[in-house]
Amino acid sequence: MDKEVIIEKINNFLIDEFEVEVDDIAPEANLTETLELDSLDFVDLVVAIEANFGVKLVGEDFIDVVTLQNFYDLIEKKIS
Amino acid sequence: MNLLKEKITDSDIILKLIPQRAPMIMVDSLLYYDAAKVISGLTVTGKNIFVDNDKLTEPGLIEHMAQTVALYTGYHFYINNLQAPEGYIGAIKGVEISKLPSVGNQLETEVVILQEIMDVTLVKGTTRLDGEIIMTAQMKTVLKK
Repeated sequence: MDKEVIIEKINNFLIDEFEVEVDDIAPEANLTETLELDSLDFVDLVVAIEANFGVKLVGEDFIDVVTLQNFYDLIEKKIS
Repeated sequence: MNLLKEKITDSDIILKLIPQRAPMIMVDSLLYYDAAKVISGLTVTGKNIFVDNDKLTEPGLIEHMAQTVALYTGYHFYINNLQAPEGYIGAIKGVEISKLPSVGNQLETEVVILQEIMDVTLVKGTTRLDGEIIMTAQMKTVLKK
């Protein structure tokens, strides 16, 4: 899957399911601060990733994830 | 597959599996346990603090479901010789309640674990009364750190 497709899918469900503002979405955006995702949202994020990409994330996967770009990279790595 | 050799109905053992204490005990038996599912039981008594006019109220049903999740986590800790952890309800959605149980009714609540990540457990719960579904909900519970 192309990285552009991965990014588009992630951005789409962030907007549709997590009510993230389009203007807030940027690669350098901080997932927890800029996008205001709390620990409860991360469970939904895991569910959304599994539904959209067929991969299951665990807590350890998020250790180095700070920005949206980190998150895109994580998913790309997971599905490759 | 049920990992319990037999149903747990001894109140002293149940107290070891959950952090709640009287009068907030809202499960009285563990009927089924595996890595992805748990089934609890509760007989509604007149002394239950969530009973009003001989009916178990909606908050009581929600607390019963939340304590079923606590039972799942607590049993996992128990078989690993650890104390039952405290937790709280983080979020609830899709709650549908079709009937309020009466005093004397026996409830069975099945909770299926959908996800567990970073101390948050996402579950889908179904409460039955005499086989009839009376409540469904999706719930997130959080372990207290």
